[in-house]
Amino acid sequence: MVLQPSERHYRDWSDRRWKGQESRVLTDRLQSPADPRRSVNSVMLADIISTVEFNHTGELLATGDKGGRVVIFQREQESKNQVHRRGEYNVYSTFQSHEPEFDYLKSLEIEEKINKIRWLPQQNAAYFLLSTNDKTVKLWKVSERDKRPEGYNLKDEEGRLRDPATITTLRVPVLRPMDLMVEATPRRVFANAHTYHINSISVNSDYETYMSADDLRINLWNFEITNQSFNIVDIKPANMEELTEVITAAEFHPHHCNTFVYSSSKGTIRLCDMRASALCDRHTKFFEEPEDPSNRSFFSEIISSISDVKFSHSGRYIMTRDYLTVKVWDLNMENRPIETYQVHDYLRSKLCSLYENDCIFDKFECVWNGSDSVIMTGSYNNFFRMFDRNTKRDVTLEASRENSKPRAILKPRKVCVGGKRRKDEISVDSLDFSKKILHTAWHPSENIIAVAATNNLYIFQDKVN
Amino acid sequence: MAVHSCSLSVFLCSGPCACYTCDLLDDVLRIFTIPILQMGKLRPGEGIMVGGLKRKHSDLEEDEKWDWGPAGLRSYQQALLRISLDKVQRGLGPRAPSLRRHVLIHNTLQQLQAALCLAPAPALPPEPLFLGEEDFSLSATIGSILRELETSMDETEPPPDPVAPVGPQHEVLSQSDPVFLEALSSRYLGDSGLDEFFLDIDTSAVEKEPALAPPAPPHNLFCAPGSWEWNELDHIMEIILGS
Repeated sequence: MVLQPSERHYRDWSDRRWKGQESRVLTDRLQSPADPRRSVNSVMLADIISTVEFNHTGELLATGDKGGRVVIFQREQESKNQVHRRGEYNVYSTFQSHEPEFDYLKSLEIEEKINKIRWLPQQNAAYFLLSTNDKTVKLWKVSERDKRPEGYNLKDEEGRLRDPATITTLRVPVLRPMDLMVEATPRRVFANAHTYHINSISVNSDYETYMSADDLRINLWNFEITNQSFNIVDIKPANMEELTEVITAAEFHPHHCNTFVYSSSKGTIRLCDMRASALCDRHTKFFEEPEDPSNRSFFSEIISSISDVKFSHSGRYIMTRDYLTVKVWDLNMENRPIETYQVHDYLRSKLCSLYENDCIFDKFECVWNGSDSVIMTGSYNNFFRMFDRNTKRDVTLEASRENSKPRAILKPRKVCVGGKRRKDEISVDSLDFSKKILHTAWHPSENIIAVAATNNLYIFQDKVN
Repeated sequence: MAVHSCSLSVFLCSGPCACYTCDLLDDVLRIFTIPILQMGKLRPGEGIMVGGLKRKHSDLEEDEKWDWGPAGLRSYQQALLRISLDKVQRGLGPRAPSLRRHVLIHNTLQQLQAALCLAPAPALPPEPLFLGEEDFSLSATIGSILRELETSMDETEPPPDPVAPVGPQHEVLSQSDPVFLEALSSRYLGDSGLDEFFLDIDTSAVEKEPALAPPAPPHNLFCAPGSWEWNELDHIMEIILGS
């Protein structure tokens, strides 16, 4: 099948004219010449963005990277003077979430790479988020401080203790304004519960619990309790030689706190109800599409492995991403998806090469827009794709510096499969497979998207006419 | 199992392997070493670079250069097998391996093994290195599959369906002889326990040898000890079992 993004004037998108706005801040954020890990003119491995997530209002955007850092961007308040100028995202806070560890007992390195970040809904002035690496989940509190107390009796302004004998008067400390300081503090550390690599975390709609999923098990936590977790799914076979399937992603239902789904490396999705039993090894629903025998190959199983699963905001649908497609499933129909979108079907004839260079194991994520009408996912060559579920139109866009001058309009791209290549098209053989967009995020209510391309973060906003 | 501890010491620590008790690597290695261990003892001193015969991927996918006849198809499958084995070999390192990746590669290996057996397996001549046919259990061993492939190449008839140049992998599984697969599964996928089998394995017989230069392609059809398949698998054994 030849991939053909719509060549006609894609009315919905083109009229809105996506404005390219590269977040220069992120590439500058790690300016520290003294850091021995930095080198000139090369992509630092530690800088590779590994997760991107908007918070529930869209005011904050968090990124995690391979070096264990979390960078939070905050949207500028729209000023009254410039009504038409959309708020830009600027760095709000940066902190080191996870450090590399060495498990001496097992002689294994534990990577500090942040696999996932999930925000908690805001309940007071502070922001809370969960961040996880392969083994440990942490709850971070991000809060602002713009006042500080002055006039202590027992210590001076620098904090040094005063000799009590020199104190002759008592005074009441007062709060004085100071420069805004954003501090991140780890409030909880949820460790030692996962033997295998954590691939997902998901906050429950009750806001009291969350789950963490690794390759073979899913654990349920209470935010207040760090030394205990409940195991709710365990697919580890008694005999490991019989292992043929692993858990690849998991998510709670957005409204029903008893319901969650998890996907597998065999292309199946299981929906579980925690009311049914304490251990949800028996699914309530089982979603699997019958295999197309005409497409069968040695790589069928690998490309059917689901890399991401996301509930729609409505809670009625789930979206899954496998290597070549994005599928939308209705929770009420288990035997096949209701929609299938080809992301880059031109790669189907290249699977052997992609197997050899390991690209076939890349895990792409997928996201819904706020109204569940559009879905987005990444591809290679810094391309990302959007599919409008209503009009059935799709578009391929590129996240690159050349295309992202301020106020530039993103031009649709096209991949040419065979035959004559038109101008502005790119042939399949020219695609750069080292430039992959695995992580994207969509603002919860507006048309603002964040696209992570290796070590660069691109934020694109709808142009306001 | 003692075998796992020895193998792990090669990759992870220079000291004694008593320190190593990892669930994860134990489990992962178990998935891959069991089929190889079932082959029985291998003679030391026979080893080649597994990757020495690896084809470039461009060779595998350029239709005009590749021969998609039955022999070409088999070569393609063998090349995929070598790539997969290479991935297994390289998958172990200082960091805990990705279980998902290993499981997917393992499942692909099993498919390749099944597909490579296109003809009914001939009765195996008594092999001093084998512990007997009835001792095979679980999935088919890589070495025995390769051996049968060599012995069956003379007897295999060309597949009835023409192999299309594009997407040869689509044809492979549909051509597998169902009778043979049934025979294969009944022979190899028995429920015999593993424990008594492993007691027979004397790992002291397997010594670590420096890698030899890649050999010429095989001339004889039987996968006898000393042939390139045995050398290849022996090398895998060396790496996994260590010294």
